[in-house]
Amino acid sequence: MAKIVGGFLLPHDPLVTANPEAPSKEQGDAVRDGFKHVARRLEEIEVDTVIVIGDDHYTVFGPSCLPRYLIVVGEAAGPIEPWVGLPQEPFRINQPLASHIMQHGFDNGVDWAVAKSITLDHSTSLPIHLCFQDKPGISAIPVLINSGVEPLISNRRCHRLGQQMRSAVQAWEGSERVAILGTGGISHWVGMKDMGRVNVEWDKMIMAAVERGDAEAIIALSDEEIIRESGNGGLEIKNWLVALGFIDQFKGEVIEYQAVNEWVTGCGFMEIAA
Amino acid sequence: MSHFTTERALWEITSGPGSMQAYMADPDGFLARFPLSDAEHSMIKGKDVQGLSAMGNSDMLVMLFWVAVSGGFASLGEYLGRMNAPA
Repeated sequence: MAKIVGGFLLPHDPLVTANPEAPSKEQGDAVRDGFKHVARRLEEIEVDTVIVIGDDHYTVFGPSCLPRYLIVVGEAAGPIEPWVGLPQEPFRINQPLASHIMQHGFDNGVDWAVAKSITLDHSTSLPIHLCFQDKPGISAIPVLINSGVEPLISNRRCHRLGQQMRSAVQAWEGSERVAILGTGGISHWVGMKDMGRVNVEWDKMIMAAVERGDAEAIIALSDEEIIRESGNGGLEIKNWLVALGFIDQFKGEVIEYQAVNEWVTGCGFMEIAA
Repeated sequence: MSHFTTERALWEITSGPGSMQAYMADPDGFLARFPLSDAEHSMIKGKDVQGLSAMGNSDMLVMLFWVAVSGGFASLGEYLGRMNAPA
């Protein structure tokens, strides 16, 4: 039976690799060390499969089709954006477990959109590249939720999606050791008038809720409040909520936080565990 | 005005294969593919990012459009200046 062995929350800010010299060396190194810490922890807890929760930035998906939530069951590569500064490479995908999660969802009222072959944007590609692309024993299952483009997925649905994926993994007969990455956030105003602002107080409020295991405090936030206090990019705490639903009875531990104005983002790293 | 068609046009310029180059070569011809009003056509051609944002287009997409047609991320200072200009 597959085992859930851990979870992490971390940014997927493309400027980390697109413009690495923008912030001070001290601050840039702190963020880069956050990614290295997650990479090291994935090895320490002997993970072989990582479910990576991200959101498309109106890049792969367009006005003709905006999936509410999508799972990759076949082939994936990324990032699709050349400007991110990472090589576009194929990713290792745990296809059997991904297909099982898809089918388990179909059997239990979760109507996944499905990608058989996709080139992903930075939201899932950057964390994969920085945390485990160089580790042949670790495969990915990318999941995209619509936390970036209206109509937005609800906070509650995100949390339940994580719970439903947990049930699916626990029902899998394989011996995988599975972790989850909730990526994105925290405060950032993408293309909005306030772009460049970081709301440290808000970011720390979100991280404090995670620390005490209080997903409901985040679920209770309205989209309007999230956008007002943390920008449209702050909506990516919905990605975090999927991860919080996946880890039963979680508590959070802060790995790193940096408010990086030059990268227009409050960069928070946390580990979540039962 | 509706942002549905303008978002489609902005997305096609930004994300369609080779379409940014096609738009830059012939903006009027490219925009003629979409059922835009004259005002919508002018807002896109004039890179009126503040107006495009105000009519409900995704700010993320408006920024990506600007970056695509205005010389890349180095031009974001001018983008923010336009977004914050007095209406």
